[in-house]
Amino acid sequence: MGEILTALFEGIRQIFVWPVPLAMVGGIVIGLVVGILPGLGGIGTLALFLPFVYKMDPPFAIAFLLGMHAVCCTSGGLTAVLFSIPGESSSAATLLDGFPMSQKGQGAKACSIVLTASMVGGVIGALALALSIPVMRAIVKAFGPAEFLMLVTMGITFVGALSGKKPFIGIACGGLGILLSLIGDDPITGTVRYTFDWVYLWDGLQLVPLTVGLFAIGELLEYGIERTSISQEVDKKFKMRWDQVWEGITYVFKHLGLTLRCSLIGMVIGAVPGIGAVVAAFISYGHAKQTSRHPEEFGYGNPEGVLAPEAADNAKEGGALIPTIGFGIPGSAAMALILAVFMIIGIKPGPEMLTKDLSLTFTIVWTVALANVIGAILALTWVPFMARVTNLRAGILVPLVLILSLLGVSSRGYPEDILMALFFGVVGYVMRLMDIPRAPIVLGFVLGRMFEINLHLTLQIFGPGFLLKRPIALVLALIIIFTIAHEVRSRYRIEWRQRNGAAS
Amino acid sequence: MKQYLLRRVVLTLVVGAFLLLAGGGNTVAADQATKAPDKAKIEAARAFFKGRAIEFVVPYGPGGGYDAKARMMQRFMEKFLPGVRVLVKNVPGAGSMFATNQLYVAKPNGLTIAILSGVGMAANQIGGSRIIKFDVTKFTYLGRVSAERRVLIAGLNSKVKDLESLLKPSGTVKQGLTGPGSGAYAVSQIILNALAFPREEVLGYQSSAEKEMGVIRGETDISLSTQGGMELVRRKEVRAIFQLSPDTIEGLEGIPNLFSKDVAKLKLSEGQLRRIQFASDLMALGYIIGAPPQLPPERAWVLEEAVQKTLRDPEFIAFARKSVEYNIDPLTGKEISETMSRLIRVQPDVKTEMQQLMKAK
Repeated sequence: MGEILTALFEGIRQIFVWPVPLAMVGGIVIGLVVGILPGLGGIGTLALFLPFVYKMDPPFAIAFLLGMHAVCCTSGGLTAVLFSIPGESSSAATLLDGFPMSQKGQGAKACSIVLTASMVGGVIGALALALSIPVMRAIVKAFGPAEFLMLVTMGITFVGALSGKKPFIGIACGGLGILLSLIGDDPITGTVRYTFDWVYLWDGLQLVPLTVGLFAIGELLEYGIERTSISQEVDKKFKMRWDQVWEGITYVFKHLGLTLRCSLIGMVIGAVPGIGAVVAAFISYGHAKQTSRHPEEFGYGNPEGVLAPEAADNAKEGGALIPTIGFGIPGSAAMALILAVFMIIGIKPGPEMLTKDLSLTFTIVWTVALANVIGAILALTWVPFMARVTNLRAGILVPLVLILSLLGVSSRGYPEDILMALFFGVVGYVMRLMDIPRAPIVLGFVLGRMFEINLHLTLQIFGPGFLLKRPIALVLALIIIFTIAHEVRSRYRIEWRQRNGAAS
Repeated sequence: MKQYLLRRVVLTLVVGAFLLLAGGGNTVAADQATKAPDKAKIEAARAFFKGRAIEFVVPYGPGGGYDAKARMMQRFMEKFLPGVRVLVKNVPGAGSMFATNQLYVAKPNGLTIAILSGVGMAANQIGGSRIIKFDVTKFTYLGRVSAERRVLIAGLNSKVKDLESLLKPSGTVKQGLTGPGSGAYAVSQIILNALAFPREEVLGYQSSAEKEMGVIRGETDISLSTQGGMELVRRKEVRAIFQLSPDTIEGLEGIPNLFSKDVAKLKLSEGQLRRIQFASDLMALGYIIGAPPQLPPERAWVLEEAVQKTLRDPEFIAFARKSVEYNIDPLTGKEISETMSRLIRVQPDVKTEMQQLMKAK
């Protein structure tokens, strides 16, 4: 116990040794800016800074990289709220309720919720990371393909919750998303599917063009065609909405229970390799809707729908560090990069991180926590200015955001990505006109591949009787069945009541 | 008089034939290391590069082994090419074949070089892959960074405890794999096929790290791994059964090395030994640095000099070893060309097996 405390304090002490704080602040600022640009994400920026990082000392490099990475999920929600354009793919859930809030003139409040929830979620994620240190390796060993399969299935059942008033259409869209995930090379045998001999599709559809197209460009087409500005409020006088900022901050703390639960969800999902921030965000959103007192308001500007995904996607980073530090297994693509950097500057993931190098691990934990707090505070000061953007007219807004979005989409270097984004932009616009929910497509797309991979691995390793061999998976399966049964029963009850109520 | 003339004619013909044979039929790459272009041309080439930027392509995404090696080399190459900037660029796709295809048709002006997967390139060509647009014997090779090394790891609770229990196991041995259809898959499986023990493949792990995790968790018995596996052996989280390396891998002393004379102990058939030798030659290609075909010899010379100096620089070697424990085994461009030509002429039975292994299931 004594060593843990020593390492704890040593870890934080290293952050305050100059010039490490400079590295952290620098990383945070860059992370915030990059998070706002749609499509340009943590990974692209991390790769950009790799050559410089190689020459840094470990605490400096950690502060810079993790400072940058911890907040890229923070500012992504801001563009989702203000323009209905996800800054990160995970922000697609935030816009479901965040954007309607902007339309009602509550943009500043929504932004402030985004930032505060991100901050709290990130800190909780870091805290959970620290607490899990003694059991970290046992956790990673206990969760294998069978358990991942159940977690993914659980994610898929949330499709209904994202579908607003049209559960069946939502489920169909989820299925469409899964179908889209089949395009490209089969993750098990490498057989190429549905590519129509177009080599670009060998790696499958890419998440960034899909989300930016469906959500961002779909919205832009609407503004361009309708020629409106985002905020529909009548009074457009110049007003600094500090009152809304404060409302947003207090809102998060008033709903601490929800924030905590969503952070936990984010953390658990972050610890599963391969399942990304998108899933964490959507599942939290679905959970918030299911446990809300006003579920019917979701999709029309219920602040809980903004709080949930933002808390989750920041907490996810803490979770993703668990397999990364404990075993050197990256929890996400960005973690793979961070891992590579760790190794090159001499940090070796594995048992040493939890014993000999424990103080370094705590430096990581503290960096993530502090970066979230500092990042949120920095960004909060800018919120009222940013919220003014919602009053811009379409003529300025559309070209500006279109360029920013396409810039992000093109970060991979394939011009076909832009074509895809534009294609899905048209699809997204049409779906918007027909009031068909777009979120389930993204969820189905992300989960489809993970479902296929883990299904095949589970069957190869354990055979069809896997639930009998893996108790944790069995428990998860029972939870899923229970959740679905409960959902079906309550819908049935509502309809029964409506029918009888109307009759009498 | 006639005899004198006859001897003259014969001599001329012989010398002429010799010159003809020596001058033609070799690749540019093979030539340029045997006779250095004249000094003036080399100086002109250096002047060409000065003030320009060379694109150093990595055929995988950022963060992997190829990426790390390229970035480590970058600053040393700038040191040996004064006035020249070296920019690392990631071009992932189709398991490194996308970038390799691109390099083959890039402008041969010396401003594009790449780190390539020697195993992947050769395996794809021998296996008759449809997606490749190159001929491995025609690239301009500048050097090898390191050979590929592997270790067969087994879980601590697995039925495989040593080479003996691997070759005569008490049940089917489960092998964890990422996926078929790549050079890495083919070279691993051709070796394991040659060892002929009852084996079941578990496909679908999305990365080497997850594959190794499967071994640790006991989902699979074995995995043929690279750096990650070696690290796990050193940390005693898994057992090493055999290694495949031109020398003894650090930390794996005493573990049988099937690429050394240890393999004689296994009493394999001639066909089996040929396959292991083929795999050894293939893995020897490892991580190589290449440039487009038909590169002017003086520019190739300047580039190769910078690459070779980097790979033999003690500071670079120390840096590579300290940070990620990478072995650096330099080879010249010419030696790589020769190995490639030799590999392409593989015997038909091995070639057929490679073709089957390179196909997706």
